[in-house]
Amino acid sequence: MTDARIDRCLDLCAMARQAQGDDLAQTLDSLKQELELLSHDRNGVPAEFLSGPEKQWIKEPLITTDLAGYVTGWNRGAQMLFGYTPEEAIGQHILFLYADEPADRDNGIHELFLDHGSSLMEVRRRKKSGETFRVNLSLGHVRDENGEPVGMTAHYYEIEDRLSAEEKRRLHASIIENSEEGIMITDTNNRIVSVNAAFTRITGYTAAEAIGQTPDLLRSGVHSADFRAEVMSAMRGAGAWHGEIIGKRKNGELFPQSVSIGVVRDAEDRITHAFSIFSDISVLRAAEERMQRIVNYDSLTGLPNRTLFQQLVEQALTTARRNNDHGALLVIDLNRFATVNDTLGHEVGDELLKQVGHRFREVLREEDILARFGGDQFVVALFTIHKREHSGLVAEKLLASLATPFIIESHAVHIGASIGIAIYPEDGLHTAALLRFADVAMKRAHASESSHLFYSPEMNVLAKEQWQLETELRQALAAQQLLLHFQPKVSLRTGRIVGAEALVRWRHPKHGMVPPAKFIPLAEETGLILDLGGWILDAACRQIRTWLDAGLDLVPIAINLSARQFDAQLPERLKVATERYDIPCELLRLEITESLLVRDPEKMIPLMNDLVALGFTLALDDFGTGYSSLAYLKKFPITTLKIDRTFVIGVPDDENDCAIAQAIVTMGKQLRQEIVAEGVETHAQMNFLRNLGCDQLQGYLFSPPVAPEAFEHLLRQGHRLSLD
Amino acid sequence: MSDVPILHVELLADRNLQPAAALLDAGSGDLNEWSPLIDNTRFSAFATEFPCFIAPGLMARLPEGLLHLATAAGCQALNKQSLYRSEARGKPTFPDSALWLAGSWPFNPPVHVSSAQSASRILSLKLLHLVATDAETGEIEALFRQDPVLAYHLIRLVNSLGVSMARRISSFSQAILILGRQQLKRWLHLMLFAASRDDHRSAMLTAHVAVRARTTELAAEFVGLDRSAQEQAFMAGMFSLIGVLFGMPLADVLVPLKLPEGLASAVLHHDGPIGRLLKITELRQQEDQKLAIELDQAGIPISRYNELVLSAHLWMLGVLHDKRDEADD
Repeated sequence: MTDARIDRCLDLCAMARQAQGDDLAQTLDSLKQELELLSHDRNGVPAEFLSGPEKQWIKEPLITTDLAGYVTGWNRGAQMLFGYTPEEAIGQHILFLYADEPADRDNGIHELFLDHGSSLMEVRRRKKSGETFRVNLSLGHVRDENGEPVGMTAHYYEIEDRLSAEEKRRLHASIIENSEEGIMITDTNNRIVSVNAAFTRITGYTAAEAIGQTPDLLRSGVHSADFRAEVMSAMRGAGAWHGEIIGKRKNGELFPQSVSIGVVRDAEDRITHAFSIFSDISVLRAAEERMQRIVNYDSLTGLPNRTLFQQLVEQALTTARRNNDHGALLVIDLNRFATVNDTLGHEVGDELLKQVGHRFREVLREEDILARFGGDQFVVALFTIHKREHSGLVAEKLLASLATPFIIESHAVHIGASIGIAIYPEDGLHTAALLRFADVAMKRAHASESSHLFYSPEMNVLAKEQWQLETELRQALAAQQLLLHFQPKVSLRTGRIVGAEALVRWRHPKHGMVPPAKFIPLAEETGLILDLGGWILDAACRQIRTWLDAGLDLVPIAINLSARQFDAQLPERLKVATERYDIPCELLRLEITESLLVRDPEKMIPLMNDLVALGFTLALDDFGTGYSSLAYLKKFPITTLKIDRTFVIGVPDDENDCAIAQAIVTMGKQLRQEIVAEGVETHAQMNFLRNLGCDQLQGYLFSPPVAPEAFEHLLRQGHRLSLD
Repeated sequence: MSDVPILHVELLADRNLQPAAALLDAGSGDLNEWSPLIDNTRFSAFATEFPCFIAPGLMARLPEGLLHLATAAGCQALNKQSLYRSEARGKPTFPDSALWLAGSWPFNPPVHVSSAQSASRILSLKLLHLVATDAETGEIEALFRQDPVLAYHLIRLVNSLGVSMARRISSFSQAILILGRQQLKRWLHLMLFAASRDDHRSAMLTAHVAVRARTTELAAEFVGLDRSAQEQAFMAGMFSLIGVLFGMPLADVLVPLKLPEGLASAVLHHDGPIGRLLKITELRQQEDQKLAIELDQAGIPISRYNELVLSAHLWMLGVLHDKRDEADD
């Protein structure tokens, strides 16, 4: 007892050395009390008879903090418990000791009674070693002489092991007996000494029948001697083993089992028992086989999938070549299906696909094949048609079947489709080619807003051009034919340049400047946008570094991010790029499109939050053209809205555009958004937008996108937009 | 230079030392120039929501039409006996006759350094509620903007936990996102536990902080700085008074925040565009001459500046209102 008190005094001395001001006074007071208690002890009054919290101090880990939670005192007990020395701990915020609670525990309620004073509560904490543990915590106040709180104390008490040895034994026995998995325990003579209920259920042998036998009782005879030797050595303590063994039930039936084998040792490290834990996986196997069977069908709609469809069409084409049959492939894409998914949820989207499949099936003949290729793409094969127009009729019938809205969970869902048709033998006699042609036709139909289109060779020319362009764009990336131009943004309050958007340009060796409208959508479509986006990020950072080195008083530069670039690695890629060129994140702005917001908010919001946490700011490009409502925007950490040029063109003459622009600005302001108008070309537009309260402007009125040197010149000269 | 008189709004405390009224006064110039200021919904909104007194000097100078408008909006003449000025260090006492307390007392050092640094219980609770109900970051950020102590501790904590990836924190939402909801919740529990009786100065000081932060932010917006610079201007205004609030040298208090360099030197030395704007808001209580020169250099006409000041005070009323709402519960 006395020793503990002396320890406590030493702790307090150590704390006093590190403390200052009020904390110091407090610590010294405690030391004084402690010394008084010590003298009581020596005078024969046991400390146990003393009242007050002093009793609890002994050897228990004790941490003191200031009122903001920063550690001011750290005793030896705390060092023993957490592994940090006072030097490491003092000055840190006490949250550094907190460990993640399992989700169901971290409702905050159990820590809420902190509020009522120093009740004991169980919390999870983390040691220096990384190990987490549960411990009882009691919080208290440190008060000055006037009773004003000047800090906090945190006492930690070990949680006692609440189970007695006997209880533990009973608990373990019951766990083994009730386990879903079969358990078999053998002694050193390889005789079974214990089995559980699941063992009997799986193998058919009762405990009485099994005990005393060797595990050969279950031997199926299908495994090699080597394999059995491996299992046996595990049972003799060679190390834990896990694998699949074919066993034999009492009724002679073979069954696959998933088995774990281990051994139990006594205090002298001698093996006393071996145990096998196994589960019957024959059910799983059956399921696997069933999976194999249904691999040819789409699980959602029950329609044939791509694999089966191609097999069937291939067969039909073989016959067609012989008999000179005519047929058609139709590729059907639902229009704006993604919007349904995003607005009404995936369940509704899935149900819609099912019902669409159903309706399509009903308008087709028995011998026609309807397949779903995943997503919202359906494909139809018509194997015997007399005229190509007939397939057009079928297309119209399919489309007509969509006319009545679908009723799903009390929503009336309207959906349209685009259909592309390829005919054989005219367009070709190979499945892959026909599918590609029908797909090209479908895309054209979609783009031209026609309901269905037949494939024509001209379409292919266009597609080939695209393919050519794609190849060249790949080369361009490597051959440094790409460059960045910068379009300044100016403040509508001062006319000064306050930022710029970096825009990619392609200087083609033969065709000269290729307009972005020609290659960006292509890059999006082909996935090249990832490389392109990476190039832009790098080039923009490099340019910013060049300008910083040149001593330019730089404004933030915005780059456009494609939806495709938004994946979990994006924050890291941005971080790497900015660190590589050592540029502050504030100088790089990110512009994103509206489609990103509706795509998968549950994923996008945390991702965007990560970007903001890194110090980037997000602007929403082309605002007003997409789906997102302003109220919806609140969920996203976006700080700037760029009003799309299509609304700017109409102001101030077009009433509708004016109303829309006004609505966007008013509500955007309420959401504390910065508003930038894009594509401003005339003074009239500028005045209108300025009066609405737009913050910034970007457009030809001030400057087109210009080469880096020109932009630098504008900045150095302090060029301003005349606001009069 | 323009002939528009500068508007002075002095906050007055009631006998409970709560901000409860404003005293309006004017610098030199032609008061007829004030008609767009007074004949305005912003002005009437302020005067309606908050008791406004007209300083005797202004009373004598204000043109009759404007006086009539101001009175109609709810402004009153000041009864000299009802106002007491205190420069006291420690909790001011004032004569029985006085209803309103003016003076520099809130800017004096606190009696208890530690209680000046502990967070407001009401706001901590309110924040905890927001976090517990999964509120959007914007809403949580809005509360931090209302309380310099919580805002300060938030940024300090994010830096201290070393989770900021060596980046400088330049906005509240960034700090909230870095910390994460779970940590935020734990931290608020601690803050609640530590919350102590308010420092006697804190209500008035918080109101002053609100006005200063918001004025700096609005000025930044007015001179065309972009949104993130506006946020930094707000932080600059807010943290410029944190030394006074905590009763410690400003430079020392700022160290653990590791603010972006530009922001820190704006607060400490009035450097850069934000620093210049902050200087303006700090000058207010002193000299008109200097203020007019600074405004001119920053490109803010006095007429617009008066409007900004009024807007900032309106915003401050919202902050007071929020705090009272909860206290009544």
